[in-house]
Parts: sequence; structure tokens; C-alpha cells
Amino acid sequence: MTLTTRAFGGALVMHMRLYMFRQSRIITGLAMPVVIAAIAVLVLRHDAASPEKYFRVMIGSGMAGMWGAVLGTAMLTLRREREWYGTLPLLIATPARLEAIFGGYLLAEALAGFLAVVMSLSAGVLLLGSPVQVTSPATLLVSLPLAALAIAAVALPIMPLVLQAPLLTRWINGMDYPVWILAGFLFPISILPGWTTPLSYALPAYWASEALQQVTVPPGGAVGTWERAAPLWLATAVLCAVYVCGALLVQRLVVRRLHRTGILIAE
Amino acid sequence: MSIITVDRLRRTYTLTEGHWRRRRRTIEALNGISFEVPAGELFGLVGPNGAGKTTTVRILSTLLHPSGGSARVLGLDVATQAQELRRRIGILFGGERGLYGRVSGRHNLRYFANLYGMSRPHATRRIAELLERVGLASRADDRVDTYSRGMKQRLHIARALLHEPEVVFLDEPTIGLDPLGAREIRDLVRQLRASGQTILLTTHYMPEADELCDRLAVIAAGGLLAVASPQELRAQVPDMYVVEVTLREHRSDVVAELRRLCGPDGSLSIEERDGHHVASIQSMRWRDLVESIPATLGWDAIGPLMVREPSLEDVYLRLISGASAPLQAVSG
Repeated sequence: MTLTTRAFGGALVMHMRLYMFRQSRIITGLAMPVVIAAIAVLVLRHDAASPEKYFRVMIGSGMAGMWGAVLGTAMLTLRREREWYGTLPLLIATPARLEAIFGGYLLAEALAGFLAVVMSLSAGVLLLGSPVQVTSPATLLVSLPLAALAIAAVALPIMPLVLQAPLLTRWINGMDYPVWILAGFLFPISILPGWTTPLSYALPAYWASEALQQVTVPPGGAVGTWERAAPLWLATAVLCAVYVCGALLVQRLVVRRLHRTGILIAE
Repeated sequence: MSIITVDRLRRTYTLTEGHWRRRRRTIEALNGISFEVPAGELFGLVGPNGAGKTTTVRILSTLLHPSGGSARVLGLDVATQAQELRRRIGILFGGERGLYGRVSGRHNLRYFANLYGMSRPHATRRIAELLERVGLASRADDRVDTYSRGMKQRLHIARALLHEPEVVFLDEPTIGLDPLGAREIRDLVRQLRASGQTILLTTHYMPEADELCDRLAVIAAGGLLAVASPQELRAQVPDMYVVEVTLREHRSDVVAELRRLCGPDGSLSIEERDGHHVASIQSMRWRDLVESIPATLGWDAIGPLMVREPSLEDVYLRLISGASAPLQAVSG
């Protein structure tokens, strides 16, 4: 096992140990998706002609919960390590790449976000009174981790930006909602102005969300198949790779600059 | 062979001030210091707060790039060969921070073992060995939040030694510790030294530096004032003695008079001991002072007067105060 994979895995496990059982985790991971799913179901309950809307909202609210938690980690990790724990200089002094450490934190948060998806699906089932029909459980099993990966990938470039400009953390809410909207978590992007469509297509979270919609359908809905999901997975994977490469490049430039300026380790 | 080589090392910080009209100000934290540390030596870096000690340690431990000059550790350049160097050095920053309080001491060490790329069996063995060595084996699975400050500092030492580094940087390891905790840390440092480890230690506690270090570099305001062993530093002021006078009252006119008597070549400091104010005057004219102080102030204003040999702290204070002609720096 290489240093990078050990660092990545170690960071993932440490992040889970530190944050899995915090009150804020329970609120964002459990309560928020349930609340959003409940509101959506109440609003849409008379629209019997399009039950797929329920499922979009149920899955989407889970994805939104996952994104909120991952964004929080992307925004606040630096602050936690530097100002709260005082561990940032020690992390930088190890031979492990900072991006491997932060990537581990983000993926841990995204994986923990599975709970949000499960909760929102469960809430939908209970509120709708009918079981969610997963037409292809195998494709669901691929789509869920891919969705976590896509959300972590969208957050990854934010970390070097926060390293460079810590004041960005004040804009945490301002960066939360646009991704919800553009990725089509809660409603299809077709209702958005046309000029936003390319922005949606540029987000791996959009393709991951679409893939999830394909494999989980309401009773009597379309059958999800590998053939329908595969292009969406491919688009998600390619965009994830682009985001990760871009984030690594920016992070290395930023860290190099901060070693010169000394801001990174300033008390 | 030198394990650490610092050559005309400079470091500046640029500060930006003002909201509308941004002004840049450059602060020089290190202004060209040079020293070398041979293998197996415990080398101390002493100086007042803001002298540049921590900046030096941060450059040597690859956290900061130098603005000028060069620094090499184990033959590797700290700026261009940082990645390779990080595997071979250990670092400890003093204070309570630098640990994850919500998890156990063992989990803290396990995490850093991963960051140093240690295999699981090796890490498990090494963590158990170090926890035993620093006396934390019985509390290893408790949350770090519940540790005393001294225990946290011992855990810091275990973390710094985890990957068996060839050089260890200890930045103020006893800061904020009670005497017992500080003694425990000093004992651990002594054990490390006895095992042949090369150590660079920063502190502003002179008795600690005197007790532990083979050689010392005294720095102030980013400049190097002297590099020598504690004995050599003391020997540089053979004629200097310290006159200590107990003041019956801490009056400004008495202090002003003492300052006048002290003259430009001596240095005066006043501290409180057991409820009394004691003036310490370091001077080469100590014989004159023993006569002139009672004669000028009278025994009504002062209590017992004594003369003692200077401690390392006195030499240090004299060096950093710049009150007299600068001492000859002994090259390392």
C-alpha cells in the first residue's frame, strides 16, 4: 500500500471517528432530508399524474443533505485543523500529500451522506405509504457510491480556494444552494433557464443524480437498466476525474505559494 | 558531519494593512543566521518571544520556505527536497494543541502512523512501545480531551518519534507545564539524547537550556548573537558578577538611582521574590556597586545585599539586552 493510499484511508477513518456521532451530523444527515422530503410530498401529493416527482425529491433531498455535509467539510476542515485542533502544521510536516488527507475527509463525509439518502428514501416510503421500487438493485449499488464520489469531487476544488482565501467560509450557504439547483437534485433542470444547462452538465453531481433517478423508480414506472445507467456513470466518472485533476493542480499551486508566504501555518 | 546546516538564513513576512488604501509592510523574522549541528548533539535555540526561534524550526521542518540563504537537514535542502526530508524528521510544537481531543491517544498515533506510511503491524508495535516509553500505556484508549497537559505533551513526543526520525525538532516542549510535568518532559528529552538522537530544541527557559543542551544559539530580533556551549557562554563574562539588592520599598526614585549607579555597561532587572522586590545588577564594576549602593541609597531603603556568579540566564539577558559591548560570538 502506498503512502498516499494509507494517508487517504487514515484520513477517512479519522474523519469518521471524529464526526460521525456529532449532533450537527445527526441534524444534517437525518433530520434535514426527512424535513425536505416531507415538505415535497405534501406539496406534490395532488400531482398523481407524475409520481416520479416524489422520488426525485426523495433522492434529491438525500443528495442535498450529502452535499451540504460535504461542502461544510470542504469549507471548515482547514479552519478546524488550523484554529481548533492546531494540527495543520503537523499534517503539512508529514510526507503525505495534503490533497490525499483532505480527499479522505471529503469522501468520509460523502459516504456518511449515504445515511441522508437512506433517510430520505425511508421518509418517502413512510409518507407515501408505498414501497420504493428499485428495479435494478445492482445498478443502485453502483450509483450510490458514484453519487458520493461525484459530490466529493465537486467539493474538492473548494478546499484549495479556502486555503487561499479563508474568508470564503462565510459564503458556505451561498455555495450550497446553487449546486442543489444546478445538479437537479430536487427538480429537473429543464425548468431552469436554458443558459444554466451547460453549467449543470459540467457538474458530476448532476449526472450522478440522474443515474440515481434511473435506477429507483416508483411503482409502475420505467425499468432502470444497465444500458440506461452506463452512459450516466461514464459521464459522472469522467467529470469526477476532471474535477480531481483540476483540484490537485490548484491545491499544489496554492500550497506551494502558502509555504512561501507562511500564511498556511500562521497562528 | 553536520546534520543541520543553516547558512545565512533569511525569512521575511509581508503584511498588508488598511481597508481602502492597501499598504504592504515587510517584517524581517530572520536576518541571515548561520549555524551547524553535528550528529547526536542536543542543540538549543534560545531567545525571547518573537526572536525567530519558531520561524527557524518551521523552516528546518519544511513548513516554511526561506526568503534567502539556505538550510539543509540530513544533507537535504528544506525547500526543494522537503518531501524526502519529512520522512526522516520529527517535529513537536509545545502547548496543548496539535492533537485530536475527541479520539484516544492511540487513535491519534495511528492516524499519524498512516500519514507517515507505516504498515499496520509496524505501527501497532511502535505505538505500543512509545506509549509505554512515555508512560501513557494505561490511558492509551481514553479520549485525549481527558488528558492532563503533561500527558498531552508526552503524547506529542510519542507522535514526533513515531516514524523513528533521525532528527527531532522540539519547539518549546515544556511551555505551560507545571514543574513536575516539565521535569518528565526533560527526562524524556535526556533519554532521547542518550540514545544518540540529534535534537534541536527551542526554549526561553534558561535553566532548561543550561541543563539539557550541548550547545546553544542565542537569537534575538532575527539575528544570531552567539553560538556556544553553556559553559563557554558563561566564560565569556569572567569579570561580570551579579549584585542583588533587596528593596524595602519598590519606589521609582530608588529604581532610578539604581539605574544611574548601574551605568551604561551594566544591566538592571527587578523581580519579586517571596513578597520582596529584588534588584539584580549585572556589571563588571560590581566592587564599586557594593560600596556605592548602600552609600547612595542608605540602609533605610535597601535590605540585604549579595554578590553572586552570573547564571546562564544572566548571560542571556545581557546578550539580548545589548546593554553593554556585544560579546564575542563563539563560532560553532
